[in-house]
Amino acid sequence: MRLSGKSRAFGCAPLVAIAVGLSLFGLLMQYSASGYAALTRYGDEFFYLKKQSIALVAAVACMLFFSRVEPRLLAKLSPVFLVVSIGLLAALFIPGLGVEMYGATRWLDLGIGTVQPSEFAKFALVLFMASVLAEKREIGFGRFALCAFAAASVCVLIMLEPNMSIAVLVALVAMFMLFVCGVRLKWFAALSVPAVAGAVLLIVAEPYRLKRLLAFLDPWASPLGEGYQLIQSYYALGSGGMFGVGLFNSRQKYLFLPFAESDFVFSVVGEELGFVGCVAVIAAFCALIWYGFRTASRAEDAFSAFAAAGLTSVIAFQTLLNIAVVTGSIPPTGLPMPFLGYGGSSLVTFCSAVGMIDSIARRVPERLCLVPIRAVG
Amino acid sequence: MRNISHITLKGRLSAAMLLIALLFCALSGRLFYLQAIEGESLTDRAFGQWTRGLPMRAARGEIVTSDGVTLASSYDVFTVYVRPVETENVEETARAIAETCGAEYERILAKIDKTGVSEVRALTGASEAQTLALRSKGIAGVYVVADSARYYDMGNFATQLLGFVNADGVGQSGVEMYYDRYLKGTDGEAYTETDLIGDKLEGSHTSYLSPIDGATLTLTIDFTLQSLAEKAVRDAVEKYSPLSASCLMMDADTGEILAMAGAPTYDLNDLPRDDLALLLQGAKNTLVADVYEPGSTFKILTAAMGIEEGLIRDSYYCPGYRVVDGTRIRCWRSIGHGSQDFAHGIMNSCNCVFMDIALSAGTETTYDYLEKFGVGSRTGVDLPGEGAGILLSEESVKSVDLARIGFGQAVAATPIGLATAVCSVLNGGKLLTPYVLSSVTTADGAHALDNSPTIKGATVSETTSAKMKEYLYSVVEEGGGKNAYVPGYRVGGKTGTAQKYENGSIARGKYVSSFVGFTEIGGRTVVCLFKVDEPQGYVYYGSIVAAPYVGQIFSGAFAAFGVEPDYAENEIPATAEMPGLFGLSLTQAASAVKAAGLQYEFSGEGESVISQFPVEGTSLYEGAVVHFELG
Repeated sequence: MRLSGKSRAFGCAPLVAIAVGLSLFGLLMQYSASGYAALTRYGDEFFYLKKQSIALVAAVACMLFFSRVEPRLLAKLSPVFLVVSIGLLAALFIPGLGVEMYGATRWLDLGIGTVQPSEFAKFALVLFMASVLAEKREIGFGRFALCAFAAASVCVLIMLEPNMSIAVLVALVAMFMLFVCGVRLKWFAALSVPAVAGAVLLIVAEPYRLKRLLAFLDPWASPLGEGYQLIQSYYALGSGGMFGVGLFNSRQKYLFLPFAESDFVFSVVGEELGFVGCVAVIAAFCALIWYGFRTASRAEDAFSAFAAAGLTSVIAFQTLLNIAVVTGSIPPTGLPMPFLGYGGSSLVTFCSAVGMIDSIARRVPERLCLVPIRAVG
Repeated sequence: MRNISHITLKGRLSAAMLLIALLFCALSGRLFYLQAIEGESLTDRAFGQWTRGLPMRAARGEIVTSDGVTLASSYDVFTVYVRPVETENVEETARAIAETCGAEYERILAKIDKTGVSEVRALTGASEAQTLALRSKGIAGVYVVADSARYYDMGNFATQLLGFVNADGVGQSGVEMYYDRYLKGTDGEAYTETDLIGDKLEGSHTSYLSPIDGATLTLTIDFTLQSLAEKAVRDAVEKYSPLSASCLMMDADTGEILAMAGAPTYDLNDLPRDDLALLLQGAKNTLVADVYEPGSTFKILTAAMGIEEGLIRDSYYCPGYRVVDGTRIRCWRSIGHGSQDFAHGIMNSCNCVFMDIALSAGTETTYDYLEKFGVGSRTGVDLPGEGAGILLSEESVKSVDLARIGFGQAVAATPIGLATAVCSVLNGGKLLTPYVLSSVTTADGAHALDNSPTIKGATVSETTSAKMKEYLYSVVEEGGGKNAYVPGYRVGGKTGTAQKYENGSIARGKYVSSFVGFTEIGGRTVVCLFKVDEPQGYVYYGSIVAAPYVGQIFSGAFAAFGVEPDYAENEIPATAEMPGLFGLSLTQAASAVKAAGLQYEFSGEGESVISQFPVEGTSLYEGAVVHFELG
């Protein structure tokens, strides 16, 4: 029996299944990681769980919605998305709208809740770049420059919040897109010069970044200062060992590990489920990314391919960066883990991205989708 | 919209995927390193932050005498800790602690009304009954931990020898400091699982690491002898108001310290902790730490050298001085001792005799002996802060100095150093290391350590030793040591009176009066050094100030140990009455004293006697030494 592409429930069911699975697993881990802290801070151990559950419902709704939206429409609307995103990023600087937390203005107060414009901006940029780069067979310098300019604008605005980690992520994703979408390697290489220079300049301009850098090299030098977060993450991972201390049995969640439910939820996974649990989560992400890239390589048109690759790369890079931070492999930056980490904006946008990829997968020429694929994760 | 070149896209996508896959592998490797390889050491490090420990103080070991009397012990007290984050109502908690433990409410409240600390020590020194009452109230955030406090069973007794501990139970001086490692034990801890702030985790258990109590130290100190020594030094302080009086008793054959007392000092249970100068002064063990010019007691060593080296002449003439290299050195008796044999030279403590011995031995031989006797070095006694004697360097010694060294000047020794050297003269020539620790018994009753005598070197032969004993017996029986005499017993010894030096010159009117005596008690030769530093008043001769206390101690010891007197060998001497000497000239006074059957020492250079000791009519043993002053 051959299924018509457009009538299938999902374009790539395993992709959706993994994303939803990771999100549900995330809810569980966030509850375990945050229950004690929530009880202490808000007197309700389900505080974070409740908020994230609502976000998950919204996220699944968005995913289903976007999986039904035609890629062409996304391409058409992508400039609008980008302009709106940039507008929202700029709105952060309007007093009263931007909410400051942890010394940075990253959240926009919508009255009913707060959102992080940067979460939307990174996907909007991906869609915009995909549509620009896919328009002509040859990518001229003008398009290349337009993309680079758009990426730079988003980066600079995010940088001003300041939120270096997302800015770096956006830069990485933009580079990835330029590379994968076939920009001449010469131009591509030329672009890395200002990128590297910019990174160095940022570190020099803000001494605290250098301090953070040093802390990452030797966290024990300042166990109560710069090195604290990382040491706590090490303690969590280390005490987990191979098989973990068991679900809900984390010791580090008793306020020792900061941001245990968001940026460092993976540390709690490592503590409670051990190395084995960590590898299982990594495997699930790898499968997700693989399905995403496979969709890209089979897409029916250039925009779909570029968009699928770009959206997947956001998931891939953010996951890599998060695990690298948690394991002390790069200087600590605040990035939630996709799907697993607490944060409504993040969950909604990642699920929406999965919905878009699914929509693209639905339009893959039939002959490529003969064999139903079983979920791996 | 254009169709894509799948070749380019696929190629570049594959490259990117490969890179991403490699990065995931690298991070998995990093995870493996942190979790599987470093896991255990990280867990160990993390343990420290997951628990809060309350100390459980190990009880400090007891200190007992060789005859089993406890001098220092420990008792349980309780410390009340409060974890402010766990308390529900600070005022009520403070009131409960104050009421049950009899403390002031405001003080407790001020201590526990804090934030940002995990636990505070609200009260120390609570009794078991008080803490039981407190516990029965079951107040959240209140913890009671057993602690240990020090108690000195005899109070002001062997104060400098025992030493004391600080508020945290760490030895600060004396045996408490020197053997702190045995006494202190190993503290335990009560661990409670908490969160970052120190809040106890629900359902968590408190685990205990029990303390290991300190070991019991048995000292070589004999309680009876120590008591006698304590009494004697206090009597001396009362009578002469000196800077200090001290007494050291040693077993001449083993080097065991049998008594070590000093006065004035304080009750170890009531230390003047607020007055640091007083605290340190009373803690200083002058018998071990301070050096002094020993004076005539040093002649024991010079005499022993003379006999050992065959330098003793048949007769010595004392005109009251010797001229050495053009310098006139006076004998203590300015009118001289006349012609005398060696035995009388010792009895009279004639400086000329000992100058002659030292000069005939020469610098090299004399210094050889000084070194053998350990003068100028430390004995190695197991007490803190031992001082070393002082010798002029051998190269710079002139004949004048050598002559003076012969009778105990121009040389400095610690009392314990001198006593140790004297022991070697009496025990057949063994230079021993004095010691106060006899054995160590751990808290579970196991014998951990038994101390035994250590022979450091040889000084004189058995023959010399035997001769010296007889000479020293005669000093007490017939000579200047008569005041240490105990009828029916053989007591030997040597008096010593030394002038003190201050800033390099002789300090007028400041003397150290001392006596080194010995006797046989229960088969052991007991040496007793008694020293009075700066006795007030005109009497300062060791024969008068120090010797009687040695007699008093020995007499007490004979009674306590049931040593029977032997009158057959040593008749009870007849008694004599002290005549009145006021206004008499030197010759008149001297003949009056002799006529009464007494010996005398005098001071001053005036026409007539202006004071005497003891008062007229005092009953004394025949041959006792009395004193008068001319003015």
